[in-house]
Amino acid sequence: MPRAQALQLARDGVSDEVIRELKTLATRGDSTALAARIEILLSDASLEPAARERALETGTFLLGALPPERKARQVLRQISQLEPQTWVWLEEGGHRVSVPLYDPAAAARVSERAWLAREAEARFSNKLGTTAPELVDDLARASLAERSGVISAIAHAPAAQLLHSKPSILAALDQGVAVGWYAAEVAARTYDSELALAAIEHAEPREALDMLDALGDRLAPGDILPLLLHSLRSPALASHSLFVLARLAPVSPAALSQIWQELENEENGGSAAAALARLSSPEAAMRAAAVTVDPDRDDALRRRALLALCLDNGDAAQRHLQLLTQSLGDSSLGQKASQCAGR
Amino acid sequence: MRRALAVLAMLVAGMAAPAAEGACRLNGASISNPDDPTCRDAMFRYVESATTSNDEVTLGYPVPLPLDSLTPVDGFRTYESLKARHQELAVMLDTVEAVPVGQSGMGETIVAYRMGDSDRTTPLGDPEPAVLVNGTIHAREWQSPEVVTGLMEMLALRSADGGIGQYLSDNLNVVILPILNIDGFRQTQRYPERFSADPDQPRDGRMRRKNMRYDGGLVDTDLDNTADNFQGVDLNRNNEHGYGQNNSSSTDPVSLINRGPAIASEPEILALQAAAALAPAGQLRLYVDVHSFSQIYFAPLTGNSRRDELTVQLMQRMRAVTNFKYRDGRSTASGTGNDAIGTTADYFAYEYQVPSWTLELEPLNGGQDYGGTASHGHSGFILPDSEIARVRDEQAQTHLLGFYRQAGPPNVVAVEVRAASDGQVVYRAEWTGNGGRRSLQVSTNMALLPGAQYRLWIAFSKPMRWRDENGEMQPFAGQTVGADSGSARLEFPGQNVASLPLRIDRAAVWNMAPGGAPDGYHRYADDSLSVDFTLPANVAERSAQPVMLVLDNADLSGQKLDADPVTPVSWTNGHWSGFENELGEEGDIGGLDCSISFFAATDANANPPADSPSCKPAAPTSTGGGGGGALLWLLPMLAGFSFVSARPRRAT
Repeated sequence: MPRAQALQLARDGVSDEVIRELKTLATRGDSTALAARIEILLSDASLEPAARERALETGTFLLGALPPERKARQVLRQISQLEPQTWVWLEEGGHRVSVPLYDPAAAARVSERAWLAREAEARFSNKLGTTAPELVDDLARASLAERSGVISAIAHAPAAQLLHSKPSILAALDQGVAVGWYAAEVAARTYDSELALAAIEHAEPREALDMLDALGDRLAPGDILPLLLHSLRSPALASHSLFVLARLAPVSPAALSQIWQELENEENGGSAAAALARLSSPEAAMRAAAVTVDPDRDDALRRRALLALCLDNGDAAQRHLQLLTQSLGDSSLGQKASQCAGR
Repeated sequence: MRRALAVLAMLVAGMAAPAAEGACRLNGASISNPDDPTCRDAMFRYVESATTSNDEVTLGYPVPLPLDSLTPVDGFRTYESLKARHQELAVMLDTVEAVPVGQSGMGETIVAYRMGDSDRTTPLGDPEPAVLVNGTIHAREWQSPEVVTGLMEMLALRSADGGIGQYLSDNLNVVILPILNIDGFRQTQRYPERFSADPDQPRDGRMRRKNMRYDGGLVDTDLDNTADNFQGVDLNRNNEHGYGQNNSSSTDPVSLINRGPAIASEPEILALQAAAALAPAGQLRLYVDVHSFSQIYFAPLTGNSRRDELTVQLMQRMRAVTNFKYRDGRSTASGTGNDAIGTTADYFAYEYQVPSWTLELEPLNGGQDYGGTASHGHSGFILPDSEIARVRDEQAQTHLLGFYRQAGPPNVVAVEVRAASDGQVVYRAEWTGNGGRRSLQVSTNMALLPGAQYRLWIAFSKPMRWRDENGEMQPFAGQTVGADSGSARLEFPGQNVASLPLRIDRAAVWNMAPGGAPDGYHRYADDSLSVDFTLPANVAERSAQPVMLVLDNADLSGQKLDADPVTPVSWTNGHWSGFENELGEEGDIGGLDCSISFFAATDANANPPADSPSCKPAAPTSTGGGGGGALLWLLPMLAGFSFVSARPRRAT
């Protein structure tokens, strides 16, 4: 049915009243009473299906924010079996394809994961940073929801305490235990270079990328640089690392030098060109132009230098680009320069 | 860690508060109270975990934040990174050309990329066909630029692979416009976690759909300046063919589906048309507009029955690549054009009569498909970071097949026969271009001797089989043509000799190394096969007699041979032209190739017989003899040949 019509049915006065009631119970922190009220909703035929689903979804989120009492667990489990009832057209699609307006079951699963996360947070709060032998095993076994809880615990724990477990984490990583995510989180929290290095080696690429991003803003150039140099050797991390290097380059000659060095690297050169363009400095533009016109240089390198000019909207780069289109003429490189100058 | 902190904030929130709900009065895709501050000024934030806050909407997974990286990541790249990636491909490779095709309202250059070799002709001298892919017409559908960029990366990576990628580079002009609605897309990336108005119809910020133009002005980029947050034009309602029709667009400037003041009033739409001209438009054979979500091909049927049938066939082939998890959304008003609504897919379907569709990517239902929430029916616009790499790969594979198929049906391009005893070439022929028509150039034509052994090498115009990453021949994903497909035989017209089957239905006959005849591929890996045979001892006992090669084969997408290579296949008015079956009838199916015949004689120095056999029925002629004359004696035999009895249905 049309979304507007479904929403009208869902937002009727009765369900507004029910939702107010649910919120009152939640505000009291009475998980069991809230669960009992939601259970009644499950079989309340007096409500429009859309209104019932809206109330169930709201109640489910409210329940997820309270402690997981037995009754609450039982009700959430029931809700997690429900199929969506209210399907609405994606009106803006113009083709009347329907999607569920509410999905209480999906909401229930999210709330159950939130419980798991909170339980894990409580469980790990005291353990993190200890040298308890089972800590590493527990971390390796943690589900994604439990990891969320651990990450919350890390955020609250004193940095010094977290580092107590560093030797056992590093040893575990060396042995191939899957706790790279934990090393990345702790490194981001504690700015510990050794853990960060281990995370670059062992964490999933996205976890390592997020860590580098966070550390790039917090560590001094001298501390982050070795990490970035290391990550430049990882195909999954190199490109982003070059952008982090570009953030450091204005204050770190070593970072700038590394970007130029990477321009010569076949794998990373394109990203290095983009990093140089981000600097948008007349000096970089001049040097890129010099490389581009130098016939003794490798063709691929000249193209990457040209790319740096192409991506740089600064006046200096654009001036060099115009000159290059003339000097390179109708050569393959000249045609590419013309394409760049044309945009 | 940004994400981790967001998780943390939500998890520790134990206090119950009202869940996010808006105060906008929705009226279809519009809003009745756009000036009401409780609607217009309302701001919301997407969060990962269960929240009860007034202004937060739970996704159930980490909120994707764009990341700087030219190389693909598990997640979404920033606009600047995507643009740099496109330009990297264009500058580094001669097979990628960047062409400015317009300027957005905010002054950003809209760039289309032409992918393929620099000439516009196929190796056989025919004009190259073209396909056009458009991305990011709707700003919030971040899946689109990633998938379209993935296509570019795949084509670039494969452009010199010696196989299917190189074939496409040589034979197809692929025009890709990866980010059409640049202004809108950048606005969504400025506010990756925030949106305005109402969770039931989220608008500006991360949920902007339209461009940033209105009434001659521009929407400001500050989300908190709310006065113009509802403005903009839906670029997918701004096109000729269906503009303003079927109650699927609006003149209301605050509507999500505001069609704009006039057909093609928006610079982005003019840019798309300019991109089509790069094909050039007359050479187009496919248009795809990549959107999300709901996992479906919305394919307009125009009433041109052959076009519509070919559109559906292509769609089914492509759907099969991902095991039909994408749905068939062909329109229902075939023949009337009544269901066009002014989308770009409508425009290309009707204007150019090519297969054309709106491809809605994952998810099917919404974020709940990945363990998240329905989020008022809109979470589907926010695919989790963890899913996009897979979607990118699946769609690259899907479009590889689609492009390959639309590049054209296969035909035989060369044949060689060598004597097994000494390797001497006894027959060699090649189809060559000749001003729009081809002719068979026979460079060697010596007698094959009864009872002797030979190696037959047959080359096709395209790679005919697919190999997995281990080099094992397999059907392409979801397709049926594999190592055991295809058949060939030698016929001996006019002689009482049984036909000789040739075992080409096995992987071993296909050539994956270069070198040409007798054992290498012609232009691309697996575009040729080599098979041995022994000529029956009882042929040509009294005089030189023709030996006709009858080939039944299909390319890896299941498209059969163009049986008459004389007329190159092209695309005209919504269907193939010059695509014949073995009877010489034009259609969209193809058939058996009988265009090659050599001859047998007991005397190695014998001259070839005057007439060549053919599958075709004889055309009335007053001049007997001469090369290629029809054989009237063949007619009565046709009914007895299995290749004739399997006559294909003639397309109309």
